Amino acid sequence: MLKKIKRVLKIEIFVSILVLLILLNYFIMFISYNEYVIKLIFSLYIFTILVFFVYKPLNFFHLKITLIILMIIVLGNPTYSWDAWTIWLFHAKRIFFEQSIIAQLDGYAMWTHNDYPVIAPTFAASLATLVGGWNNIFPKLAFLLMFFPPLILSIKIFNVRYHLLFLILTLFILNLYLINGLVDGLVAIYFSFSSYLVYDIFVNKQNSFYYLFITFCFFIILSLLKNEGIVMVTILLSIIIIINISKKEILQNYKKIFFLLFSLIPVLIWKINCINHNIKNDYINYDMLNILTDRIFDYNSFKLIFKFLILDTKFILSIIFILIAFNFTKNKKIFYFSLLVGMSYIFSLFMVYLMTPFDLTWQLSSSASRIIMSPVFLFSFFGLLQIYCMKEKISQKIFQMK
Amino acid sequence: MKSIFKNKLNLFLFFLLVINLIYIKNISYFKLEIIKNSFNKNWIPIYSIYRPEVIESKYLLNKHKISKFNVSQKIIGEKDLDFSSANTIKATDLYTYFRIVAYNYPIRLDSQSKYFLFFLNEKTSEKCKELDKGKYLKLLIC
Repeated sequence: MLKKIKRVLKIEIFVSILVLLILLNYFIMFISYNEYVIKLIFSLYIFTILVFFVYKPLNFFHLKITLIILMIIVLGNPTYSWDAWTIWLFHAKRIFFEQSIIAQLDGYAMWTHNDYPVIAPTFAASLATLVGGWNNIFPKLAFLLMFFPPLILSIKIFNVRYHLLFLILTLFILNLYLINGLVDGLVAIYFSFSSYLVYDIFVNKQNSFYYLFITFCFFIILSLLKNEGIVMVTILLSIIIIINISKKEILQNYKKIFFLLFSLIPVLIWKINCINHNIKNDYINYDMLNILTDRIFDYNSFKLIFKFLILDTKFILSIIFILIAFNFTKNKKIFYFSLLVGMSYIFSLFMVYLMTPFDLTWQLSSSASRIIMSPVFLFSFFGLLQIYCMKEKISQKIFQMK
Repeated sequence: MKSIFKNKLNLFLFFLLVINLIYIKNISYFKLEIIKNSFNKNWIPIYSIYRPEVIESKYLLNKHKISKFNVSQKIIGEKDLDFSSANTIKATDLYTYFRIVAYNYPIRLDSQSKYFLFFLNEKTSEKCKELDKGKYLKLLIC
């Protein structure tokens, strides 16, 4: 038992160090672009990963082999996805050459969505700084490296068998998004793990400093990945408050809630920076309320959004999976929590699509399959968690009977 | 590692995991040539950029050490696009223009620059003087 606790703590420390280094890299760049400090931070990140790979007590051979193979695939793939080269890698390239995290706020190439947060491009720019140059391929590796903290945390959640299942599900759902230089896969994984951490802290009453710290860092990273991330963090924070009010525990947990609310400050600073540089968002730029009122009474718009989001094959499969898992396990706590988080997010997606200034069919066909990946991953993850928790309960009972 | 290879079900799951990884490799555009050059700063990304004129634009700009450039209206494509119309979006091809801008950075696109990139078959003003030309593009000073 003691050995197990120690192992769990080791994983939490590893994850804490990694997320801390990602954030440190971002904040240091925000203050000033010091080449040596950036190189040091990124080298430390790589060193921590190497320690994880060679450290015997954390013997998760299948995760390590998966990560190594994915790294090889990333480095052997061209950067062909439209958003990868126009947005994420272009922003990284700008940060690298201009040596400034706010390089994109000068208004150059406005079509590259200059208002998007830059934690992932910053990390890619740091890798380029470490390498000492730029090319179209290797900066994508930085995005894959950002998957490591949640993936390492997952070995704490599941045992070997269920972790294998978790990795199979992850590869099935995220597949090319792990390697193609887009950040949607990162958003999906950070969203699911942030939800899990919220569940464990506020529903399961897990009291660990590292856990709270990791949640805080995951929230910051999630909100700085993409605009969707801001919505996700807001949803999770609202749910935390709702849970605590409904259980009359708000006074008991107010310190934790207050601490987590601070995670929104970095993205607020970014948005204030955008406003100061007169960089506008596509949605806020246009007459969004008029568009919303026009579309909200239009049945065809709803039908179209429903078709692209809800009738997505992977989404249907994930819903079936979580329902089957619930039917067998009857774990209401996990099921209702995941449903609340997932449905809130899908509702916000409906609202966003109803407000889009672009042609709705075009907007949905170009983004729906990417956007729906987050709820798909969330439902699949919590479905698997339900089954795993039931299995753990049964084995604990058998152990006690013996 | 032992826990995987000792148990048949775990071994089967591990096998599935490997199949998944192979599947990802197969549906991606994985190439050994790319991995060999993944850290090569001078490598031309021929597999990332599928239009040779984009690659040629960098060659021409670098050859003449130009730091700011302009492009012809034909390269830009349509002006003031209406993205609320699906038909306009479908008819528009912005790849060449966007990719030239993204690929050539830190060489910047500047509407004030006198160095213009034109398609080779484009008619140009008599005021412009041809500096260089390639297979797909020509570089002019106007």
